[in-house]
Amino acid sequence: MAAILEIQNVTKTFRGGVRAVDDVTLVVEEGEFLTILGPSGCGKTTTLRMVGGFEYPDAGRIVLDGRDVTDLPPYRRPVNMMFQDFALFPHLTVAQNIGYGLAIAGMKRRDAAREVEDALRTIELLDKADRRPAELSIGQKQRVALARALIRRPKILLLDEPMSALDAKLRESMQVELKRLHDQIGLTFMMVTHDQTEALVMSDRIVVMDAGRIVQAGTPADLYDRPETPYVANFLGSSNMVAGIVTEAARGTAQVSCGAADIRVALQGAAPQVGARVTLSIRPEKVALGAGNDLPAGFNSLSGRLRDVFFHGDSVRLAIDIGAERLLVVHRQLETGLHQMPLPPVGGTVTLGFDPASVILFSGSSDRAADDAE
Amino acid sequence: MRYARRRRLEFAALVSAPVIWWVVVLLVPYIIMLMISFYRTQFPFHVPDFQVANYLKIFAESQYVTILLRSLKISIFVSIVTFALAYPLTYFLVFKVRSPRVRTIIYVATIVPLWVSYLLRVYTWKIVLGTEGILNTFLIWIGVVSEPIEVLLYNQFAMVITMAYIFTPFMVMPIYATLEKIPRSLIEGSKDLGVGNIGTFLRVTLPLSVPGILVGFTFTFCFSFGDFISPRLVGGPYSNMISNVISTQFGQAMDWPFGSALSMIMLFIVLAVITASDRFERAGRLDLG
Repeated sequence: MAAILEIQNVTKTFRGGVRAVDDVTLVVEEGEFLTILGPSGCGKTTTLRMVGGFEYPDAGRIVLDGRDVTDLPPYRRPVNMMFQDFALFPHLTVAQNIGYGLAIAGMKRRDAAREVEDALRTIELLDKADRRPAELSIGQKQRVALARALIRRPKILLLDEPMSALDAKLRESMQVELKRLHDQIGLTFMMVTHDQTEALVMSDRIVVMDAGRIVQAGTPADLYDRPETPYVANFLGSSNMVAGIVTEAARGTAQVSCGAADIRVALQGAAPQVGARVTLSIRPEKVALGAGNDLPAGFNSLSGRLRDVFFHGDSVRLAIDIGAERLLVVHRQLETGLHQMPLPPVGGTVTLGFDPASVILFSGSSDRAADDAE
Repeated sequence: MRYARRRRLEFAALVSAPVIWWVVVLLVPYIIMLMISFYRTQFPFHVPDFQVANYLKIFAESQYVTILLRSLKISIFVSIVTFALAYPLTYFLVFKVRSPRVRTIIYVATIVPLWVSYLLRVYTWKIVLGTEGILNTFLIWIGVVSEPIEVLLYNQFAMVITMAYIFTPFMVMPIYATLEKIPRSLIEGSKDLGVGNIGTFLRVTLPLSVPGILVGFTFTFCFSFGDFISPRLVGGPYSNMISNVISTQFGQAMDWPFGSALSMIMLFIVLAVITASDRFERAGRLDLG
């Protein structure tokens, strides 16, 4: 695959000295669905807006399809954006909105009309062609915005928080629809969101940003299973952050003492110093309950006291005291119930088991990062 | 039940004062004026009657038609000149001035003359445009003219300039309100779709500011149509407007019935303009949310 977009050492400082984007370098491959993920104020939207031409970088270059577009205005760039509020023109009809960019491109009126009609048929809004945007539902508005952005056949479709105006139900179905659309037309999508589920579900690749910098980039599974910082571990999914001290480190594994619990960790990077303060990330769903004797060899086996049960409908989350600084949150799917052991009452004892390879070790006691991320 | 009755009483108590006020100072005078417009004049008195001679007189005597047309012409000119000055200024304020503080300062500076006596502001232009005035002094000083020029004052040009200055705030305020409400994403969206700055202005910004422009035009037109200070102070001999004629009828001429008929015609024109502008505004009203 070839690079369609190169963001090279781009920096943007706003009036008042806020450095929104700080030396960001990013290559987007042709045809991929790339998502920039981060909390508000992390610089993700500014990065997207610089690609669209709505902001100009103070330093660095933006190369689009081999052409330097750093200083080009939006109307000279072969990209189109779907805006967060959809930005539909209230004084124009649905058809006029979709055809807005075609009239300018010097297209013959009849050809433009046919393209608009095709687009309307695709989004199943042919009967709403002469309506004003105000008469449409949110979902219909979004489809119009999407059709309008795609009709000029951009090299990249930019999506600025495309789901934020939708309710939870609609959001889920639009995620699927957008992803399907991407697979169908093979266009490069570049999306910005603060919603980790959205990013995980839709993207080929996720770029996590924090304070104007890229923290980590990779496939959704990469980022989820091998986060390089506690920040990423916490931002994608939820994670137990357990502070501890290294008591043993050798041959790719380490033993970490977390209060009363001793946890074995399979190391992915360099071995830590014995006696070093570290933070462990343990995903709630990687911990099995009540599997005392059936655990494979080498698994961590702990026992703890059940402190609380949170009902989530299809699952429960248990807060278990394993003698560490914080309670360990454990996820338990409520399936058929056939092979599941009954839960002890709150206050009772439970046994837990988990793979040392599912535990991620971060050096340093990174409480700050753990608390910052949601 | 009791609660509902008490609420009704409270409501009646609340609205009665404004209703009484409105009836006494607005409705009753209108009715009186309408009645007098059908009276007969027996100089220096007028006697109750029901006849339309007063109205016929307006259209039978060419001098009144001339003055009516002149008033219309001047008001339209004033509206156009005011718009031409106010729109670019407001556009600049809303879209080009980045600092909210600077924007507020310029906006307030534009509006603040409203707090100065209207009469005083007309006099100001007499001073600016007069033969001994600032403009003439300046022109002589830079050597453009050697003698003070008199064409600046006491003509319709002076009236239009003066009224355009005075009514600028009434054009700026509604246009400012509509321009400010246009979401920036619409302008960015237009550019994103390949339309340049001028195209975006003509196809998005201008159409979306039409409601404000209409309100501004209505204000300016109605105010200048009813003005009688500017014609008297800076207008000179051939600048009488409809209001000047009306005030004469109630003063020296002592012809109240004819003055009332003229007033009714004027009221009709103004109401027609307001209604038309309201229609247009309603038809074009858009949901920007």
